Amino acid sequence: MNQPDSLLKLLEPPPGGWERLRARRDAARGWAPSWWALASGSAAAVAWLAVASGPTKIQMQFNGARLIGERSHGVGVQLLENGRAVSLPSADANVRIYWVEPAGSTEARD
Amino acid sequence: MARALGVSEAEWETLYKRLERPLYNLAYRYVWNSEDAQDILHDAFMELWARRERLVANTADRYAWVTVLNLARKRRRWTRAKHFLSSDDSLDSLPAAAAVESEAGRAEEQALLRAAIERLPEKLRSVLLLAEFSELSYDSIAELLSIPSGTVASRRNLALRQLRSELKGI
Repeated sequence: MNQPDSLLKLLEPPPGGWERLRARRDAARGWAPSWWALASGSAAAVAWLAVASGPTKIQMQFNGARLIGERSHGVGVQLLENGRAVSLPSADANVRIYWVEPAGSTEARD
Repeated sequence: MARALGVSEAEWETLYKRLERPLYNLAYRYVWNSEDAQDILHDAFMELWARRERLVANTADRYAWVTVLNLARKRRRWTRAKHFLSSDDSLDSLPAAAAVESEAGRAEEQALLRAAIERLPEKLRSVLLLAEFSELSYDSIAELLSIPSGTVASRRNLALRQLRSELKGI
């Protein structure tokens, strides 16, 4: 015991350390693509829902006065198709186009 | 020529296998618990894995030593705080890690040595343990701990003197 440094004997680590570390690394590595897959899957699902549930007719959701027959910019507008706005194809996903007509134009067309 | 950045998977594995034992021994002398020591080692290597693209292979071992040392210090502080909060102020009642050493039939001596190491100030303990287990040169240890090279030698000698003094009766 006169050489305390020699008392610091080298202990053996628990066996299987490398295997456990590798498994932990693989688990961490395996999760990353899964999260990406989950995120891209969710995005794809949202896009699919948008397309699949995007019929040409959209239920009336507006409470504002502009699309319910009141005057807008000095022009009276009306919804087509029995109270439903008719959506038109848009090249920009952020832009929705609805088809409305000035009040009275239906009669004119008929 | 500058060494390319990045530690390959093979280099990471080689590094672990080469340093597992000495790093474990360093961590163990901080936490005195076999599982905790291995956890620290694995945490350090996971950190190294995460940063492998920014490391250079020939400096990765230094990174491993610093990381294990820092994690071991942190774990030790946390364990001591936990024991303090649970009103158990005796370090000797820490998880009976001496069980590992008792297998060698020297549990009592090891317990005394452990208590003596525990009583060392951190600046002496880190130098002593790195000098004993890392096989790093004094210059490397000095760089690692951000202290002058001469200080490594003096702190190691001081730590050994303190241990000898405490273990004189054995």
